[in-house]
Amino acid sequence: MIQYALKRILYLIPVFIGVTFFTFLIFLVVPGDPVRLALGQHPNPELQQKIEHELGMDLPWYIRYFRYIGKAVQGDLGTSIRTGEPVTKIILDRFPATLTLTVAAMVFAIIVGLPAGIVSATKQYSLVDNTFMVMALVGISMPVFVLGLILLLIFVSFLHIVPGTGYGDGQLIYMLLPAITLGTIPMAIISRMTRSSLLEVMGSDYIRTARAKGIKEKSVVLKHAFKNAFIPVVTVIGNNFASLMAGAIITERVFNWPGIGSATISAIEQRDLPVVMGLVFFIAIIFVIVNLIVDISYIFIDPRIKLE
Amino acid sequence: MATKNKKKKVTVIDNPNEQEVLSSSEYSYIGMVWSRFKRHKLATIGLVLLVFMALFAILAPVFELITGYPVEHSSLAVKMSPFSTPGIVAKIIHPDFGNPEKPMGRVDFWFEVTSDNNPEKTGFASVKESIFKNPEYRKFYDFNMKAYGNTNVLLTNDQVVEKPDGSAEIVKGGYSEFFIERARNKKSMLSGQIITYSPTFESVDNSITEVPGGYNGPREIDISEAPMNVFGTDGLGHDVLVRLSYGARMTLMIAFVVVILETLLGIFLGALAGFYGGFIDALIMRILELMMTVPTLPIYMVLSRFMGGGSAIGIIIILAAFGWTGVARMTRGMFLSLRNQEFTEAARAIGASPMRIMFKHLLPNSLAPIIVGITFSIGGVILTESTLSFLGLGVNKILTPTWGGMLDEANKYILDQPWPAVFSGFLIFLTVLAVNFIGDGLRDALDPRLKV
Repeated sequence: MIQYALKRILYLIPVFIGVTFFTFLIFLVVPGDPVRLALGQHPNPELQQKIEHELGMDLPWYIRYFRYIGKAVQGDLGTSIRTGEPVTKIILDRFPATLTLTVAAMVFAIIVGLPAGIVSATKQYSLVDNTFMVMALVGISMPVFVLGLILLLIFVSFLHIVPGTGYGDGQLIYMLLPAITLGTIPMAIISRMTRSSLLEVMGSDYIRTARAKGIKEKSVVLKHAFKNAFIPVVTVIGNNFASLMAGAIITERVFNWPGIGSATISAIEQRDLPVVMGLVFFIAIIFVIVNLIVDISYIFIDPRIKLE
Repeated sequence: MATKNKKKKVTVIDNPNEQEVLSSSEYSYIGMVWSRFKRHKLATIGLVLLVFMALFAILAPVFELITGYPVEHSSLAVKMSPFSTPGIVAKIIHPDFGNPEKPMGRVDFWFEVTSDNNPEKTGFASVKESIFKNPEYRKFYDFNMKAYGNTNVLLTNDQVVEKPDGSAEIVKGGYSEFFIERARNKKSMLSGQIITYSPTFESVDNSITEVPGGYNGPREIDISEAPMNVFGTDGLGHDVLVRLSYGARMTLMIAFVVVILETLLGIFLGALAGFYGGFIDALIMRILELMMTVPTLPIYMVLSRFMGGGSAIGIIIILAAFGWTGVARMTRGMFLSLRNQEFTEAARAIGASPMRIMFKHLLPNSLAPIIVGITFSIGGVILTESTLSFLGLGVNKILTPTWGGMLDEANKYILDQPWPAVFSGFLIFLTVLAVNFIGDGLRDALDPRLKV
């Protein structure tokens, strides 16, 4: 088990290099020299050269990549050309908000999606099942920003249940709408997956045995069937962290949530290249780490995985 | 049901009437898929919806004709509810307007712009004369002009450069014809208390060029004769129905072109990887894994902001360049499982070329999951494109309407006037839903065992 985990962590190294290099490559081809942007339309050529030299912009790209990585490892992702703030500080300021939002969204997705899937599977083709599954399909097709705006209109401007957008002072009420918005797509996917996976398991022999023993149906479903049905659901939950990150960017924009996503958008709007680059790097790394955690957690859920 | 029918009819083949039935499409693969698809209620609804959307997009010029509002037309009547008719008054207020003895410098005309529908909001517009003379500029102007609060006219995204004499100039490549007087309250102009007004200068234009008998003081021009805006107007006074229809064109066109491109690319790369294996496979799979590990939305955002330049082609290239991974992975998987089967060996034995084996033998047998996969990816592309447009990073939303761009625009005044946002958001949702329904139906129809 530990061996598998170690193997996965070692595998992370090439992935890290690959992902960071790829991101770096994109910023290499992107036009918009940060020095030129900072100095304006007609920069003093000497000054420009001096700054470029100080920043190492005159070096070959591969050396710049290693320098960037070297500094990034030490926690230096450069500074904003607009505000002069270190990018690391921006990330540290903004990340907690994004983290709470994504976790809240996932909690919402699981506590609503799992029961919905279980009920649908146990009452297949019933009215409840059909309603849930159509709702799940609607949830998957609903663009995050449309859902967010609808919730805003209903709960903020018409019903006045939620005071407004933004972070508030961290009160839960402010988190309610963004979390529902962000959690709806994973919720829909989880409920669909739970349903199909549970249906498959319910047809297997050991379930018939359990029923034959005279165990209550409730405990057949929840104790016997659910344990096995849960494995593919975890895969789905893990895979959805990726789309959750993308969804977080949009959700933060709609609800003025002060997280990484809204920071990325405003940095892109202001053409603040070092900040954009640092943030995209950070998001990519978070991505990779989340995937790793999901992979490792499989060992605990499904011990057979070790054998592969 | 279908198989039962088939058996029954085969036994009575000597009946000439039945023979006709036999040769009907019911017995071809496509016919079978179609009959299974038709039984899927939601899928049929999805197909009808998608056809409706396609018609809505194709008929855009017809909507222009019927409503009487060209797509680039923008009127003073902004943010109007559905089924209302605009009543507009444009009032020329500068006392020196048209007075030859008092030239107004670089600004030739001033307007106070008010709308019957929002009479409490007024703004001033000042425009250089040449705009009225040059139809090119006027067209551009009608799109872009925004009156800022209590002050002046700015072009979207343009830079305000202050001049030493106290006036300000708006700089945009080729459009430096637009000058504005320095705002009375500079702060309010620059902070952009945005009230969007786009006067219809065509109507104003006629009365200006005439100016009978020279200068005769401030006057009002009434332009209240206008056709109905069936879906209301947006913040720039565009007719929402016509914009939505052109938006459908853009959104659907981008989605389909991207999906076609990514399918071709994905099938090609996936086929290479799955058929040859070894080094080629490893190379393609590493690139693919890399692209699937990288968070795509921020990268789309960066590329679209810095390289896409707000053009549809830019967006298409960006989305297709990253979108092929799903199709490639599916194609590779199918090829891997098929390449050692007997029919492939048979093809190889009779000396078929690798290309022939790949695209004549293996590909048709792997199409079912690929078709289902790309159907779902149409929905995904529509969502991504709309998201980029919504974030202001998609196709230039002022020149080319897209649903996402319209929603972004409408989002600014969603509390005053939710209709434009509701319509565009609903259309995005409905189209994606339709595509997902079709995907579900296709999956069941093509191969019920598929799990895509």
